[in-house]
Amino acid sequence: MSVTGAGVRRQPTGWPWLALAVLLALLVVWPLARLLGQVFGDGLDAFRRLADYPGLGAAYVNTLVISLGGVALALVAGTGLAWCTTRVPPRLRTLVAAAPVLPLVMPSVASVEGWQYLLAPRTGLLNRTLRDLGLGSGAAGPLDIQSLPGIVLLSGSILTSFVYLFVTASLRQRGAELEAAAAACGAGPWRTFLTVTLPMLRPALVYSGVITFLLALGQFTVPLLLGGPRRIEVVSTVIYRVSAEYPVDYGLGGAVALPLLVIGVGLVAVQRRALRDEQRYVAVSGRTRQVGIRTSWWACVPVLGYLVVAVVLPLFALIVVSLSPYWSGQVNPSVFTTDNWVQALADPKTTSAISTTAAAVGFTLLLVLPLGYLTALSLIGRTRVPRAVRTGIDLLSSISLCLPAALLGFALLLTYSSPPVRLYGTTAMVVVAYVTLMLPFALRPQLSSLQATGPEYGEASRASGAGPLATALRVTFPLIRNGLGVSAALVTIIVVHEFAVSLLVTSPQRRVIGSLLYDATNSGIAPQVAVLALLMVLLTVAGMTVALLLGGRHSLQRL
Amino acid sequence: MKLLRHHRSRLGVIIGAALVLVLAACGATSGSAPAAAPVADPDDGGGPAWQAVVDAANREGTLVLYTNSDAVGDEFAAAFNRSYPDVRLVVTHYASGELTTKLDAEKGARTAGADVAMLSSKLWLDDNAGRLVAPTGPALAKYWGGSRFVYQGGRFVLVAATPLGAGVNSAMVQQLGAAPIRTYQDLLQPQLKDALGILPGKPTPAGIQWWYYAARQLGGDAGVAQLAGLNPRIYTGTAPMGTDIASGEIAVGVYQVKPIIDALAAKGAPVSFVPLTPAISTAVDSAVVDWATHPHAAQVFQNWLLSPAGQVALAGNGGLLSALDPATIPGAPATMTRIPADGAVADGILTPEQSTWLEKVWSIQMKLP
Repeated sequence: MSVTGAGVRRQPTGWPWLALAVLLALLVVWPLARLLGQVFGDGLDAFRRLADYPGLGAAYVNTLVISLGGVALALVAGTGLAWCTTRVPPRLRTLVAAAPVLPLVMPSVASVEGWQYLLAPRTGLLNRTLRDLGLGSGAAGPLDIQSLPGIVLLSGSILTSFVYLFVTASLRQRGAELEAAAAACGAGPWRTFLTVTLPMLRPALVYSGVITFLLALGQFTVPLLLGGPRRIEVVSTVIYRVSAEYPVDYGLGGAVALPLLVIGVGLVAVQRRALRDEQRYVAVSGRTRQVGIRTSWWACVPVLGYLVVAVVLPLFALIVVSLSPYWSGQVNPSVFTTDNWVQALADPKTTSAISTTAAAVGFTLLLVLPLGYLTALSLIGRTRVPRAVRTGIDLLSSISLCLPAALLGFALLLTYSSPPVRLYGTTAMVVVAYVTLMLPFALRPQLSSLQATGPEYGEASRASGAGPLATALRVTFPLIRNGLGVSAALVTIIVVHEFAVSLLVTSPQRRVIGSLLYDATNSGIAPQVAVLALLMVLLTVAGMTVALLLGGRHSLQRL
Repeated sequence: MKLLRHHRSRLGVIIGAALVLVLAACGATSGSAPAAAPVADPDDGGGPAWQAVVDAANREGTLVLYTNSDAVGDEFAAAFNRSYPDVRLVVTHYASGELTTKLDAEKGARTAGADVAMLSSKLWLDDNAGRLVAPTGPALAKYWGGSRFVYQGGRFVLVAATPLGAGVNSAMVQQLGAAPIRTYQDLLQPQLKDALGILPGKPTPAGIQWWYYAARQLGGDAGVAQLAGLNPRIYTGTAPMGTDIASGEIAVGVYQVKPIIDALAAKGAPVSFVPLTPAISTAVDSAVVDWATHPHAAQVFQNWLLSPAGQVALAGNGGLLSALDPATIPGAPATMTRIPADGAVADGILTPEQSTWLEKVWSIQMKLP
């Protein structure tokens, strides 16, 4: 119920929210419209060129196979890990529950490079070990990371953390009373899982499934670095190759990605529809508890296994390579040297990229967190926003999730490198690109926090005469501090790891660590790549730590 | 809560210490390269007007160079800085296609980016000749009079050529039972199946041309089919291919450059560069762009590059072929080699015949996307 009367300032209605919708449209729709203008500018000619482009059918098939395979794997593994963390003995639960989130600090490039050193057919450390153990024959194999199954497995491993985040939050929120009741009625663990746990997880699975599928559709790093040697193309690598041909055919690039955009928008619509009746899945009690569950130390094993696969092994390989003069395919501590680290840190390009990345993260957070807050405010039911404007804001804030990052980079390059707004070559270009890309990630945690806090405190503040800004600063922000911390951590992680957009929008004077790492993968030797990948991990850890400290002690659990 | 604060303060100390270490490392300088006497003063013959350009370049203090050449590295930058210590040379490497995309973006935005570009796409340079600035320094007239490598009145100049060959892990070649790699035909040995890597050239036009010329040495279309039968691994850069040769992931990598392999060999890797004969090379053209934010530094750099000092820095170690005749450069190193008069130099402009070959033969045989 809203408080009205003398002394109560009314919430902004109409025009301010319309201005927000226009701002979002300028950020997201304008670049997209310019790109689509190129696609349809000469009638359907871009689609004729599309039909003639060699190997495109295989690229679409590969994209679907990798996305579906990766998401299926991530859904199974992420749900399994979340379930396991509820079965861990209570004194270990906080620690073990945080473990599946740790792979988020690993940039995709670091994971890919690490696994290349582990599973390259001839010289991969694990392949050598397996051959020494008598598994496989000949001089190569038995495993090959540079293959379609290899790409699916690595994609699935990377996406598992995202699924885990959503599913574990849902499990924690719902508690275990229903499962305990099922067990008390004689249901075994498996039956309880199938008939109680899984159905209750439907919203989390639908949401995480769609999000990870969208991420998988647009993923770039893994197929580019692993698929290239074996001619495995996906849509985002085709877009990137089109952008690297002279003269650049923006129309063709946009046409290549158009099916993904349509799929993305359709999936978000389906997701909204599927989650519309989410109230059906609420837990029976207000205060949820993990009671009546049988715990076991064995539940730690899958979590530790995932941690080893997603973090420990690739990090180990990267550290070994970073300390080697060159990558010889063998671990030889007698030749280890810190020269590669000293050279990288003495190189002005590295220090400049680190400072540009830090500045870009800082500016992006300064812009995208308030923007995400305003957007979240406009989407919760208690604000007086005209329905059409609210629907528009909801759609606009989700669009960049539906776009492959390579396509967004392509559109931003086209838009901001020519009149009327020339930003290319400036930090502003990088920041605008990141804000556009990060909006959904800055929005969702804040929206959840706002929905959880209820309107009473804000209304009391306004009843006491405080304006919207004072209410936000003194009441709402402290209440949603956890959500802000989670938003900041997610934005920091994704911006530091960002790769596809950065490649297209950064100039030599404004390189970020992601584009520098990509350069190293093309023109640097292995130890240089390993050092930069590890620096990226350290930068992510530092940024994430600061964000979570600002967000309070519960942020990591909420992340 | 106390415990949490205690942990936080410890965390703060650890982060602080790490930052101090990182900053200390950032501040550390690497050993400076030994000074070497320049072959000849690049400003010689410039007069007061040119000196004014050099002074302005020193005030600008920076020069941004885009290149797709792996031969342009730290030593090259150090050589330039010995001649012009007040101008910091910022070298950025791009693959050929990325480089022209970046140039087009900057050209449209007229924004900070490249001052000088060294690339292998004559097509882009021809198309954009109106946006390039001819050298104003003394070196062009003094050393390049009548050269076939000066285009559009000097708006761009072929300053060197990259002789591409094979990077070889000799121990692995021997282990596979293959004969030592010396010629193009040696690349077709069946023992190299699954142990050969190539940079297929696509989408770089000069790279495609290189393979077009190399295919003739391999035995035409039949040779290409034989090469495809070896199931070569496809690479996107010479550096990752060099890494795989050094580790033994592949035994031989073709379309490789000498500086990458030499750098790995200097670190102890069991690799060597084999220059395949006849030499087939790709052009290295250099041009000053008219949207340069350091226009005077750009002119000074281009003049230095066209002078004997720049040519020795670029091609003195034999990694590239020089466009100037080393015999005319007093003090030129013995390793410096001229572009052969009859050698094929891929210029990046595909003929209709080459385009057809790419579409009908090379892309299909190599299953290129």
